[in-house]
Amino acid sequence: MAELTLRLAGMFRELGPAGPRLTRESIFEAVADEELPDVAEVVRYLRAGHVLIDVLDVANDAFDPEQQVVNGPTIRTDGDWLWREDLAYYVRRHRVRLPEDFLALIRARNYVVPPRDEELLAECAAVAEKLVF
Amino acid sequence: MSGRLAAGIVGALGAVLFLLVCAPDAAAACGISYQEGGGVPTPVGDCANGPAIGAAAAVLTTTVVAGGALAIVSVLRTGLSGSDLADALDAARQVGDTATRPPEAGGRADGPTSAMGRRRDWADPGARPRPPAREPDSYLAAGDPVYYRDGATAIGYDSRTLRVFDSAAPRPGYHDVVVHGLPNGLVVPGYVGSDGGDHPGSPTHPHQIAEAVGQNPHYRGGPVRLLICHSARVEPGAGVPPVAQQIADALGVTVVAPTDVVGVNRYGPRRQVPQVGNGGRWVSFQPREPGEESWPS
Repeated sequence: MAELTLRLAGMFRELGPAGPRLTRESIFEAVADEELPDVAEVVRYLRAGHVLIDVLDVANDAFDPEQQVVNGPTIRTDGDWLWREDLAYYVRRHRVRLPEDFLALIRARNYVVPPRDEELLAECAAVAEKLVF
Repeated sequence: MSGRLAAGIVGALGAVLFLLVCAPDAAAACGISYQEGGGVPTPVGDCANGPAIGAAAAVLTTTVVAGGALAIVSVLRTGLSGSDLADALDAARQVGDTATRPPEAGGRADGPTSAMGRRRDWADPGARPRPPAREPDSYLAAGDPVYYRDGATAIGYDSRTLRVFDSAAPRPGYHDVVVHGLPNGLVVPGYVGSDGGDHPGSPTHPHQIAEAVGQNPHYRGGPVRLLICHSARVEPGAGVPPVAQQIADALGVTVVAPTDVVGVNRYGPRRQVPQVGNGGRWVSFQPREPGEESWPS
């Protein structure tokens, strides 16, 4: 079996459990000047990822404490990338940038998350579990 | 402009300011309701565990409206000029606009955008509650859906709540309670918005959660495990015990609860076993005697 290589997106240091051990990037330094022209399609892709870890949570929006985001640390995947549930919210609400490689992959897939078998998802979940717990 | 008119307008605007500062939280404590097909969330008046807060919000709203009305009456009684009358009516109209604006109005308002893309008046256009696709077994007094099964009670209907409710591996002898929690001693039932995504509802008192557990026909007493994030701790200065202690006191049973977020791995070796995130742990709470004010940390 080929070695699993997963890349991470949306795990900013301000967002808590799923992130600080592996990345120190700040969400405040990841804001784009312009909204993505295909933001709706990109957000739909992010929301369609396979859920690996279901996490119950309510947290304040990192930019606007008057807004709250639920289930943010939940981890999704497309088999190539792992990302937090709240990444879709921050992309839509605050123009937070995705890694260029990830955005290119999403577009190349025409915004459709590929189906993945349970064996691969179990491998992905083993990586994701270390991020959350 | 006459002194009485000025006093009336100042009183009305003062009430508006007070309402803006205090009423959103007060209204939020009373839950949300939804309309078939996705309506705008509205505060529910019969907040079972917060009647004083609900009443205060109602009194404040009445005060605002009355303040505007008094301003108009003052004008009529003192026979002011047309320009004063126009000023008074404009002030009263602004009061009315503010008083009737829903706290979570749907739609993205036009407003200034900061460098971070933040709009202070932003309201999530997808946050209008969609009715639960799954028929609830009951409702909290605040209107939030409640689900029962043997061994578990869930409050709220966002996807993660129902997923954990359905799939979490049981702890033998314990009854699970699934709902979102905050480290300020309140719980927040989730819901599905018009965008199909999960959204936080309005804060609810833990006593309502205890009441829902007690009404689960499968629950015959005994210890409870809270699958409620942060429910074993409370922020300094919150003025209330942790959610877990409040529920232990209300039900008179042992309660175990997580200090941080809680979740389950769908595929891992500890499949569906609830785990505490961020290096947190489970804490056990016992019902307290009257007058006892401490809790485990």
